This record gives sequence, structure tokens and C-alpha cells, in this order.
Amino acid sequence: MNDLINEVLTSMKSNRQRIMLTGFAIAWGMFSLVVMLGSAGGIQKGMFKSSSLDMPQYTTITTGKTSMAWNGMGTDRLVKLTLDDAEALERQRFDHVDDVFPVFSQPALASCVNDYLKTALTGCAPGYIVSQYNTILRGRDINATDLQERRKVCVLSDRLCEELFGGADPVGWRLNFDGNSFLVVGECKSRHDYSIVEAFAPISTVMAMYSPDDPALGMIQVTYSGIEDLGELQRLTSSLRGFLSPRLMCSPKDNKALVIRNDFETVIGLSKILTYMGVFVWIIGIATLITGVVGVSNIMLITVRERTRELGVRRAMGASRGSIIRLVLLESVIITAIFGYIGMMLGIGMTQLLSAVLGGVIPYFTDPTVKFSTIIGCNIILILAGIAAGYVPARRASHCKIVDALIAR
Amino acid sequence: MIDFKGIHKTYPGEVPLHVLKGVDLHIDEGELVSIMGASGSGKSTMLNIMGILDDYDEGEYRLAGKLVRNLDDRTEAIYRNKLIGFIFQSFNLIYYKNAMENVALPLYYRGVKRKERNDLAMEYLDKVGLAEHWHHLPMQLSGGQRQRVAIARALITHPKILLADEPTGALDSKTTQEVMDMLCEVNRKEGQTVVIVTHEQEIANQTDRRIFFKDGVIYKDER
Ligand SMILES: Nc1ncnc2c1ncn2[C@@H]1O[C@H](COP(=O)(O)OP(=O)(O)OP(=O)(O)O)[C@@H](O)[C@H]1O
Ligand SMILES: [Mg+2]
Repeated sequence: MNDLINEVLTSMKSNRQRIMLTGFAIAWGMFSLVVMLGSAGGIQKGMFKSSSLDMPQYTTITTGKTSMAWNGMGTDRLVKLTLDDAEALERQRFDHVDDVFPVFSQPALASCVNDYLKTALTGCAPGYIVSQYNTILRGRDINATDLQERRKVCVLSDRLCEELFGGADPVGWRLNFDGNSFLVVGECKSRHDYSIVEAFAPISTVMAMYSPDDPALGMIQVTYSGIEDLGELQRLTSSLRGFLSPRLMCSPKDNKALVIRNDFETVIGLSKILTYMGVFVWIIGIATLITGVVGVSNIMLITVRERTRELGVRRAMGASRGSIIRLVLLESVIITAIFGYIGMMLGIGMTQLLSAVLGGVIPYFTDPTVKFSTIIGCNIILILAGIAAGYVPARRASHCKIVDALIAR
Repeated sequence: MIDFKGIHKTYPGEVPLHVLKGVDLHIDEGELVSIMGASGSGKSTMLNIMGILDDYDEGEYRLAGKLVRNLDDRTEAIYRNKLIGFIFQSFNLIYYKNAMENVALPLYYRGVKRKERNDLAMEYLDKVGLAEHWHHLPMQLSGGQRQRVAIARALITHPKILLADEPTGALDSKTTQEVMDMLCEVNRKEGQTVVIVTHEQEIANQTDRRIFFKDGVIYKDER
């Protein structure tokens, strides 16, 4: 191998100018691929950051009817989440997961002495209200004792308070939900610009009231933190799915039976855009690279034609077809690899520069660096590109008859 | 050593050219043979078949007892490398390799280590009197010197047979004699079989056996 490389390098030295020209095409292709991938990555990260900065990060898990058979069980089975599932999730301690909240929501008629109003009554656990981008304005959150003792206590949104109590402090007052009297223990306010009419109560209380015989929850909400990109989020999603689907007796691929929705994806509708952008960038980058490959291939064809006689001499001296193919392929791979590397390094340098210059200035552009896996991918692509570029010339070189090769110009 | 039985060769084309029309020829180990004949009579064609650079259509060719026919590419390559040394009229040196590297090339295809093959190449360059020119590229050498490099390259694998197609065709009379002396010496000292295609009677006269070619068959074979 060492010897072969040496053989190739000597022949390359005799052809410097042409190799520089081809090399430039490859280097340019690789450079643009890396810069584009880096920028796209930067934009993705930037969008992710700005969309998740002041947004609670959570995933909601709901269920429906099975759409796939699983373990001998048919489709159209209604799958239900229960408090046990929520507890099991909690105990599992997934990476990045902070809290697991079981939720049971119900439309209800809220009434007090002087007024009544249709509202949403959400049965939940301590911490849920805050996780929903609310702050406790007055009074307190629902606590563990409320939950345990199924107390009829509630926390109202500021909009609901406005409607029913005209903005006065509601804490300590009583309120009826569908005829059941609740004690108001707190008022919360959404940090969003908009606020909705809603009330929160212990999930045990709400479920006992509205669904005494059915343990099915409305949904489970999983809050997480420290997730920096879409990939990590997708990994979390699939481990949740992997954990829950056997418990619910459905296929892990059945996303009608088990629906896991990521808040920020749905809110921003971003994931698809980001995916398309990634694909688009790869297509453009690879197209550029292919131009380089075609360039190398053409140059190799010319080189091989010019070297017909030399290759004929080599075969007369005992070179097999295979060794001729290796010679040409290796030359092609070395050219693509060397110049591809140069292009890649320049590209990485460029993204670093962009990162330093633009990182702070343009919001949707954070840390446009290239991932290690991308670099590995680029390397593989380069080797394949070199082989692709050399293949046709190598075959042509080795299939020429020796006598004909020896009388070539 | 070389055994041709009823060899036929036709070059395909619009008008197929029947070049060899049943050649029977036996050359023993250690012979020094010249082949003569008019231009286009098929001398090179025959030599190329002997050197397994070309194939034939009919007949049987045995090289050192082995039938050469429909061999796979690897075997052919090995035969070429081990049994045959080729010397061409136009030298066919690799232009970007120096004299030493050119001489060493056949050993590369034998898997000999670089140091070893360069040492051996120097030895053979010395034999042809070009040791101090080892670092010169072919274009820095005279025609006679180039042919001597080519001879060294053909000899370095110590082949059983040396095939030379008009080896002196591009040389003046003085260098022609040098080259001939070298080939004769190889034959005499090392006992290698040497086959020389030539137009020059003077060269043919220095060989032990002269084969004349006409109309695709051997019409005279004199010793
Ligand atoms: N590859 C080829 N394709 C078609 N015809 C060929 C080919 N090689 C040689 N010929 C023809 O075959 C005939 C014999 O060619 P060859 O080279 O064997 O002759 P030669 O005796 O060596 O002649 P010279 O003394 O001129 O070298 C010639 O007429 C030549 O034109
Ligand atoms: Mg000829």
C-alpha cells in the first residue's frame, strides 16, 4: 500500500498543473458544502434557541385508537393513559426530564353569587400551573395535600377572576363548578400577552367528580430542560414512546394510539421547515460536490488517455488489470481527499469566522459550526466521490489491449 | 521454450487482415534467434503473441511448457512478469521516472520492497554501464542510453526469454553494436533465450539462427 501510494504520488507530481485545476473544483465543492451545512446548523440552533428561550419546554402525551395491530391485538382499540403511567414515567427519570404532570381537563360552568361563566377546569398536580407559563399572582399553587385529600380547592386565571370578581382578590371566596363548591386558593396570570378563562384544581378531585369509574387521564405533560437541538428532542420523544407503548399495549410505531407532541414544534411549526432546510442544503452542497467529482472524473479520463502507453508498459512489465485499476482509483481518491480536506478546512474556518462575526449580531444565527458527525459524513462522501470519479477512467485504462496501448501516442 | 503450433492471427476490421497463417516454430532454451521479413509481414504480431501482449485465434502456443490460451488476467500478468523481458524499438520508458526507477518497475509488480529493488536496479544499471546516470530522466539520456536502460529493465527479473522488437531501429550504427553486444552477452553468459526482430542483415548475422517471414508463414529457417 505504501508503495502504491508512492507510485501514485510520483505520477501525480508529473502532472501538477492539471491536478491543481481539478483539485480546485473539489475544494470549492467541499468548501461550499461545509459552509452551507454550518450556516444551516447555525440557523437551526438560532431558531431553536429563540423559540425555546422564554417558552416552557414540554411534551404532551395523549392517546387515541390503535391504528396498527400489535402482539395479536387488532386495531381500533382505545388506548388510555392512567395515573400509574404518569408515576411510572416519573420514576423512570429520563435524561433532561424535569417533571411529569398528569392532566385531566373538563369544560365546566363556573358560578358564584352574582355571575356564571363557561370555563375550562383543569385537574392537575402541583407545579403544573407554573409550567404552563403562569405566575401565581395571589394566594398559592395547588399542593400535595390538596391532591391527597381530594380537596375542593381551585386556582383561577386572572381572566376568570376579572369576569367573576371584577378584579377583586378572589382568594378565600367560594366558587361552584357544575354545582360543586370550591374554595379559591390562588390566582394565576399568564406570562403570554394573552390570557384565557380557566381554572385549575387537584386532578384527584376533578377526576372523582367527572370520571369516577374511568381512570383515563386527558394527557400527560412532560417538561424538560437542557435540550439544545431537534435531534436531542427527537431522541427524548422516542425513548418516551419506547417506554410507554408496551405499557399501553400498542406498537411503538403507532402514532395514532400514542401521540407525543412537542410543544415547540407545534407552536413554531419549525421542525419541518428545519428538516427541509437541512435536506435542501445537502442537495445543493452535494450538487456542488458532484460538479467537482465530474471535473475530477474528466481530468482522470484525459490523464488516463494520455497515460495509455505508460499503463500498457506497466502491464507488459507484469501489472495486472486490477493493479492498474487500483493505481488510477487511488490517484483519484488522493486528489479528491487532499483537495476535499483543504476545502473542508477552509469551510470550517469560514463558519468559525461567521460565528465570531455574525453570532451576536444576527439573532437567528447561533454558533454556525459544523458537527463532528457532519465531518465524518463529508469524509465518507469524499472517498466515495474519489472512487466514483476514478471508476470509469480506471476501467477504461485497464480494458485497453496491451498491444494497442503500446502503440498509442 | 517457445512452441508455436499452427498459429493463426487475423486482425478484425472492415477488411479482416489474416496476418499469421499457421506458424509452426520451436525455439529451444538458450537460443539466440533473429526474425526477419518485409514490413507488415507479421513479425511484431508474432513477437507480441510470444510475449502474451496479444492473443491468437487458432493453434497452440506453449511457453516454457505451459499452454498460453484463455488465461486469466492475473496469470498472464505473472507470466509476463516472471518469464518474459521485453525490449521495444521506442524504449517505452516511463517519462517521469528516473533511470533507476524505470529499471526497478518490474520488481514493483513482483512485490519486491523499494530499497531492495532500487539496489538491484543500480546493479543492473551498472551492468549496462549507466550507474552514474541513475537519477536522469529518460529525456535526459541519449537514444542508446535509453535503450540500455530498457535492457536493464528487461533483465532485472532474470526472465527466461528476452523479446526484442527492432531494438536498434532507432539507434545509430555505433550504439546499435553496443546494444547487440549486450544482448549476445546475455545469451552467452546467462543462457537466456533471446529473440530479436530486425530489418538489418548485419544484426541477423550475429545471431545463431535466422528465421525469415513471408506472407504469414515461415519460409526460411537457417542456422
Ligand atoms: N492492431 C492492429 N489492428 C489491425 N491491423 C494491424 C494491427 N497491428 C498490425 N496490423 C497489421 O498487421 C500487419 C502485420 O503487422 P506487424 O506489425 O506484425 O508487421 P511487422 O512485420 O512487424 O512490420 P514492421 O516491420 O513494419 O514492423 C500489418 O499489415 C499491420 O498493418
Ligand atoms: Mg514490427
